[in-house]
Amino acid sequence: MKETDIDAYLRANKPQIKDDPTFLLEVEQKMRAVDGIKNEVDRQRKRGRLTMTVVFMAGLILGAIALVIVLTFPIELKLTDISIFSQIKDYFEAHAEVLLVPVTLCAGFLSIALGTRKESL
Amino acid sequence: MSPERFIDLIRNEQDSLRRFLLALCGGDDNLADDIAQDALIRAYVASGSFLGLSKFSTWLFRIAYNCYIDHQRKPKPDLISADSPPALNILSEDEADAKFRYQKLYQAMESLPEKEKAAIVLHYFEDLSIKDIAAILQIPVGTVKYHLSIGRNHLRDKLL
Repeated sequence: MKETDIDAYLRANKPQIKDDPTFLLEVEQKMRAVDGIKNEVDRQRKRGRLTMTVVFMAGLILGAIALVIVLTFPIELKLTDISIFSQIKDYFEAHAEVLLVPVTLCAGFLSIALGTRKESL
Repeated sequence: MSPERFIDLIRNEQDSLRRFLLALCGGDDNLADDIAQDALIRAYVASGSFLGLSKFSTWLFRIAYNCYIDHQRKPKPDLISADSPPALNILSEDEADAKFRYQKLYQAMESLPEKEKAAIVLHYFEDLSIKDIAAILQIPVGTVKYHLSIGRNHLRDKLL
């Protein structure tokens, strides 16, 4: 078989598709189903966005109200009046020089630990 | 893209798309139509991303070819039909000749690698240009020419 023969053979034997009038109708049905799903997803996304906005606004308003209340009716807390805090304060004042060493050691250890962690990242 | 506009566009392309897939599927028209519908739905979902940089038909054929490849990659279950075999239709001599000819052609096509088969089908059955075939198969023009040449030789050997 020559090259022109095989060309002619192939062109003369194009596959014949069966006549199917329902093909496009089925595609249209599936398209409608896809549209339905798309609309539902859009509706849920919109609802989610609306909920987020409402929650954000509510938080903002409640925060503002809380701020106004705090500024309008200030309460003065005296930590020194509570005995446990005054005891701790007294202890630190009395042992400030002794406590300086472990605090420095802790700070040094923490800085080394955090520095090493950053490098490993 | 509106559904009406999309339907208008695919109305002109559906026959060639179905024929393309029919040839790729070795004459299995149910499978070809399933893949064609899958491809059309995928195209509809992605129609917003069609920028018109290529022809609509090229874009559609590319999606259809990708659907076909996806289908080929899926593991196929071993189907054992519980139904009784279909009743044999008595064919006229011409019909029987045509059926035999197509069977022979599909068998020969089945032996070709996928890209060769697709290039042959698009060139000879859909009369597409080499450039369009390259865009559909996403390979260079030279590679399409190579696939066509090799595919022709393979088919000549099989159909002799």
